[in-house]
Amino acid sequence: MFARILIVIALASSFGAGNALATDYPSVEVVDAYLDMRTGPGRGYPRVQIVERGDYIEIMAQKTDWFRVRTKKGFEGWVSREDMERTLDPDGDQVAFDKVGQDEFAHRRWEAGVKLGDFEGNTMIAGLLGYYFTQNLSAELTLAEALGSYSDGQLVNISLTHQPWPHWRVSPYFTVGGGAIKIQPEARFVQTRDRTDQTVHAGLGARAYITRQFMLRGEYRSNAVLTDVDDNLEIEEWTIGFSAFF
Amino acid sequence: MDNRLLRLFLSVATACFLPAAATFAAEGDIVEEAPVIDPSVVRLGLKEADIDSMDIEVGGYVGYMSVENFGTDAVYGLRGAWHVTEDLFIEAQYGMTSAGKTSYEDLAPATLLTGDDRDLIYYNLSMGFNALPGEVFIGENNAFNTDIYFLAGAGTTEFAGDREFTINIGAGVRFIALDWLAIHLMMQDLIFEKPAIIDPADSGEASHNMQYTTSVTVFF
Repeated sequence: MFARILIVIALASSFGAGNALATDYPSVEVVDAYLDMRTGPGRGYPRVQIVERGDYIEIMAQKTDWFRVRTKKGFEGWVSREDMERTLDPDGDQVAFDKVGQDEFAHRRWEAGVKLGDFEGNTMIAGLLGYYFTQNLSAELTLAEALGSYSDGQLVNISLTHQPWPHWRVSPYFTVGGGAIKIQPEARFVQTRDRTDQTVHAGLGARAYITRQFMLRGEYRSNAVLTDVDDNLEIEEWTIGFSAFF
Repeated sequence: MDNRLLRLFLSVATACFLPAAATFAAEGDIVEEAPVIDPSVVRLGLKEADIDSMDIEVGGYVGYMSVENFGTDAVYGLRGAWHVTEDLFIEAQYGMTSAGKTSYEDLAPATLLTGDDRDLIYYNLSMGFNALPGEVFIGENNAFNTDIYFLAGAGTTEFAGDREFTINIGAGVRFIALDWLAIHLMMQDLIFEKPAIIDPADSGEASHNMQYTTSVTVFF
């Protein structure tokens, strides 16, 4: 009896697996007069096939705004996102893909980007990663290099930023934080040594929503390098950057 | 006046009792009629997350890099790209080569660089533009998609004991062998200030370092 139950369960589960494979790709129904299929994922590629109204197509993959699809007869090609949004999903509803816009910009969770600028006369290049605890408050990790004629600096720092008006398309923010800088004199100055110091900074900036999931940002920071000697080194930093949000 | 009060009373009474009457009527029919919302129906829908996306391209490359004043040597590296639209992509590269000898070192018994200082390591982040999409045909039955792209960006090069800010510009051909596999041929110029060892006067002159590479990348 027990063995029979086991066999039934095994059979049932194997049938289930078979069904899952058969419906691997989601399929949609064409409701426009026809749907164009192209040879490649781009508007320049030639149209090679049409799918008629009432036919079903399987969606195999996506590359940017294009979908690789397969017809019932096994013909494969690429369909644009616009065309795909004029088909019906398995429930009979019009297909609607998520669009990223300014509203998502205001409600972003993660931000990753790069910055380029001036670090007291040296060229600065930096990467940043931000996490938003709330719409207003975020923490940012920055890894940067400042490349100069006499010395190079490598920086790592963490900032807390606050933007009072997250819904604005251009949203100003202020930032405070701290980190460390490692200064390496250029090779020709052999007598000096590398040194690492702590830094603190405060600054102002603005993030501007461009399109999709991208923003521009500009920032001014005043850094203080806490050196062993009596006077702290003050460094002005101006950067512009480009980020994607998720 | 009476008439209006009566009408008000009647309409309130109708409003109170009609739903109850409707419920009684519905209870009789419920067995035959299907409910408006069937709780056992699984809504399939179509979410973008269900579709396998192939916007990320990663791979490696090998080729030759001509380091100005230091000869031409093998270069190898890693590259990763995020295709934002059919036209635009953002690409990161990390590559390395080992510079050869300057002609001065060949002629005179001198050594300008030792050990690790001869290794040139760079990274950069670029914006790419798929400018000329196309197709190539191999034989009678095979067509493959291609892209001619241009890219430009910035990064850092570590060479001869210095770290230099580096601009790169390049062009390449992406040959899409399979939907998920591509082969590239690329030319790229990495431009940075000449290292102090060959520019002791610190003239700030730029060195142009051409690299010619072949990449194999996969999309996922």
